[in-house]
Amino acid sequence: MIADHQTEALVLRSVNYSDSSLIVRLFSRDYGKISIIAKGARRSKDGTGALLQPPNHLALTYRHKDGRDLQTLISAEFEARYPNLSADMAHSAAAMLAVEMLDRATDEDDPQPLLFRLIIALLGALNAQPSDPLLLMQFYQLHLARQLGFAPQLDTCIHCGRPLVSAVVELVAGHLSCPGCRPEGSRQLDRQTLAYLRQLERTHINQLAGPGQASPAAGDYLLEHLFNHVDGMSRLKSLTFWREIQT
Amino acid sequence: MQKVIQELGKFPGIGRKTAQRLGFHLLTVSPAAVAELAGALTDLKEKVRECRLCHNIAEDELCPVCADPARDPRTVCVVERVIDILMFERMGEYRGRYHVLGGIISPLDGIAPADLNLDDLTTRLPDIDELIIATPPSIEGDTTAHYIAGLAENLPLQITRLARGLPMGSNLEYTDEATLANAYSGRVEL
Repeated sequence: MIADHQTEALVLRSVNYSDSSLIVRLFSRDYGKISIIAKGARRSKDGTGALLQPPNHLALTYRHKDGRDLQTLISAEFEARYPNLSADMAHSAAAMLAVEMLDRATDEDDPQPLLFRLIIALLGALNAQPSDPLLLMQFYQLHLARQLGFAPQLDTCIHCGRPLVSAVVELVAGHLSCPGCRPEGSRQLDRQTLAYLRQLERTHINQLAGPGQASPAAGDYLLEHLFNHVDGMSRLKSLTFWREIQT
Repeated sequence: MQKVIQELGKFPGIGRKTAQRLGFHLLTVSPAAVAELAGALTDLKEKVRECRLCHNIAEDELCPVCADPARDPRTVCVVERVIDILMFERMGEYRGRYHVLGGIISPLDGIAPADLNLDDLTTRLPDIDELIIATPPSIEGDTTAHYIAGLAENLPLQITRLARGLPMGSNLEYTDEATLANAYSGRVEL
């Protein structure tokens, strides 16, 4: 069946195809991850090629044909603009990392409107001035894990169910357990980091405006947690640059 | 003939039919013209190399721009690719020199600062008065520009970026809002 679909979408990846076209992977609000071909976009004078670059947030119309991996772009325009993402390296690197994480964490044709809301909220928060990209990325990683169904259990031991005062991180699955149930090879997660993660879990992203006090230890834990649970997450290309600018 | 068509078809933008047309055209031209083309292609690979200073293409150690004493060595324009130099030269107004990065920082493609010709640029910075950053108007281009500006942070030089805005002869009606917003924020007093 052929139908024209209209949706909001975030550009995840854009690659050149032939001399004039682009193949674009997007995460759409209503249809999940989709791939489209934008014929002639690189040569068009209306700026379509520039629109179809990550992490642009677009109002998209495309022709969908059942059974096809590659759909056809009809039109695209900005749904919202985030000009401050380019204001400095930390903000742009955070946006790129967030987009790549989303790409690796999602499948084609699997709509996840809450994930879409999460990434759009993140881009909006990063665009706000001033904002702390490190703090916002930790919020994003924690809530990405939650939306994917892998939220770390921060309040009780995964083994005995007792409340966690301090915790250890298990080496293989990244679960948190109490020191009493400490499995071999686990490492300590200090009380402050645990408290910080709990606070982050209960906070709305709008409350993270302005300069914050991100926890490097929490950042390491959250990344490790995503590596453990999401296939391909440990091969993030944009993580190298993100880490480089943190130092 | 098949071999010629096959080889021509490997060029970007050349499909099978165009390759066939070019192949048959070669049959119609004189042996001297074909030899001249073959010689030019061989020379291209044997003689053309990177300029030691700016990474432009060159036949000698320095490219024609870096070797030209009339070009201002204290003004340097940073571009992504060699082809960008050709565009600047076609403009005909720029009298400074260049530095070719060989790419831009692209986290999603795994292209890091270490993959670009930035070490050489850092070496040149103390001898520069104005650094013009001409990376593309994209998030990767902006990231690269910020990175370069960071390299020159403590040096007494002026760092500029190319303006962004409406193309000549364009119509506002068909302009996307990002371009219009850039043109608006970069408006100049008359």
